Amino acid sequence: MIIQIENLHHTYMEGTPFETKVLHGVNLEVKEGELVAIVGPTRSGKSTLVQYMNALFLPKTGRVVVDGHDTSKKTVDVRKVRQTVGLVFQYPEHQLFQETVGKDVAFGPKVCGIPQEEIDGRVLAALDAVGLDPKVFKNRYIFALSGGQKRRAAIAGVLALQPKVMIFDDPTAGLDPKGREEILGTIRRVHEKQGLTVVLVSNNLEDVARMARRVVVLSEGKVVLEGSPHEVFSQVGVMRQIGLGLLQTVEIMSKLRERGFDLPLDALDVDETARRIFQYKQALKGGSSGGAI
Amino acid sequence: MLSDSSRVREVYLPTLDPFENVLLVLRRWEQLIKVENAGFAYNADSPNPIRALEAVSLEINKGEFVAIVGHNGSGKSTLAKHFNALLLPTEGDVWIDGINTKDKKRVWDIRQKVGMVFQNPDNQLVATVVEDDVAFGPENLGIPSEEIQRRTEEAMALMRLTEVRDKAPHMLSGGQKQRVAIAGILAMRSDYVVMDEPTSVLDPLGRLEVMESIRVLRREGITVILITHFMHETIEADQVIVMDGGRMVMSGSPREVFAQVDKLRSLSLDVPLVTQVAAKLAGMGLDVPPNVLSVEELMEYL
Repeated sequence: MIIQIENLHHTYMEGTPFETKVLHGVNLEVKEGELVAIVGPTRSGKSTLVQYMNALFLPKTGRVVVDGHDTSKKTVDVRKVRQTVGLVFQYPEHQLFQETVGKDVAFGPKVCGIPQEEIDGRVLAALDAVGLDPKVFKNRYIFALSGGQKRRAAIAGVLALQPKVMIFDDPTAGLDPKGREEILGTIRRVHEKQGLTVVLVSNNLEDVARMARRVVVLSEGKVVLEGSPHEVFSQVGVMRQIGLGLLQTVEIMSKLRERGFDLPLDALDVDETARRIFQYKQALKGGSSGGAI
Repeated sequence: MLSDSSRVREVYLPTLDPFENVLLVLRRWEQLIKVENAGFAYNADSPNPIRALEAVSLEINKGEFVAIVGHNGSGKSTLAKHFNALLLPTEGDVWIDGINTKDKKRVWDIRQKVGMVFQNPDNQLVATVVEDDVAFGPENLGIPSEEIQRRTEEAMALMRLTEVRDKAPHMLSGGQKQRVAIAGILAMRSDYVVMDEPTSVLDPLGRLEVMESIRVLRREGITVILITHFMHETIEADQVIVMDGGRMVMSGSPREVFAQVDKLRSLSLDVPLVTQVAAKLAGMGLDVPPNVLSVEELMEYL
């Protein structure tokens, strides 16, 4: 277990008239090497929760243990936790500030006091990992990059710190389909090739259905569902009730069901949806001709 | 020639031929957005101008719902910014109800006519409570306060914001924030609303809220221009315009446009998901036309 969260509570602006409870006793585990997605409607507490995972918030109530470091203890070394867990914020490209891609990626390791020779190696490896060819991109000016490239450069900056866990907070927001593919491909590579544990926070259920093995659903500061994408996304009632909406393919299946088609709900992509409908039609044909005989 | 833009400024000149004068006055009453052969370059005066629009011509009629799609860098946002004179074409002309956007004296008329909703709702809310934010636009028009009050109430009711009128905008969900932005435009009595990727940072419910708001706007007779890369959001549009490399490469009804799956794919765009499922089913040998646009339609064939 690389991250363990027990009974975590969080209140914003405590003691003021604007006091808002954001997390109400969250229990959550992230296993080493897995790709887990956290989904939830706006204001469900997702972004607050991930900030506990790299010690930007320290628990007042409850416990967060990251790779053996208990962040609820006063003695915790928060820098260790932040080195273990790299957090890629929403719109990370807004945080690029150096002139060139190479300098920006090198900035984090430099601040951490890594020797120059090693930094060079890390920059190359990180650019490689996000699919930006170092030969082409290392000396390129930041402003000459496309939106998707900028975002990948920002991700490389976090990777260069060599964390064990990467958290991506809404990594595809505002990108077009091509940019989205690039980022999802990057996340998949980081997970599969480098073996990093990935926590994917997203509002895009389509992305989650394609990427995650396990999905955790937050609503009003609590974990309300947890399981495989097939298990979670077919919980149409809960997903609607908490205001998250449905995966587009599940929406199609559920509309067909409402009109009397006896179809399973858990279709995660176009192929699966078409196959389920096709099989249903075939069975219907088989059934009716059988009845005629 | 009616389409000769340089003549329009002469409309007040007594020397003009009377017949032509009448035509030009009539043209000022035209209720539509007209883009004539518009081109645009960023840094046009620098040695390295960046071309973003090439010879775009189109018309958007009052009350229409038009969707503009294209990948990043296709020019769709640049085009959108031409509809309310945030950008002026470096070649050609853009007309809003007969007003040329290059007419500096009329720029506030144009901005009153054409409201904008941007991608990130946090960047466009100005007041500390919802009601004040909705009233902000008309207040700046110098309208009497009872009238502002009436318009604000009406706009909040249409956007279902009355219950949260006293809340701070930053306490709202993404979908609610976009509805506040739209309500502000309604209170301005704008005739056109341009939305530049209004759903791309929202959760699925927020997206549905924005789509429902578009239906409300249409019922109110307001023209909606939606820039998006979510294809399913364009299904209810009257017209879909596809941009690529600064050019308009396709346009037509959703059914016409989405029938050209291969061409869209080559522009790294997709067709709506239902359409993809229908195409797959057709490929498997079921009797389903490949250009189905909704689940309801798909059902008729199952």
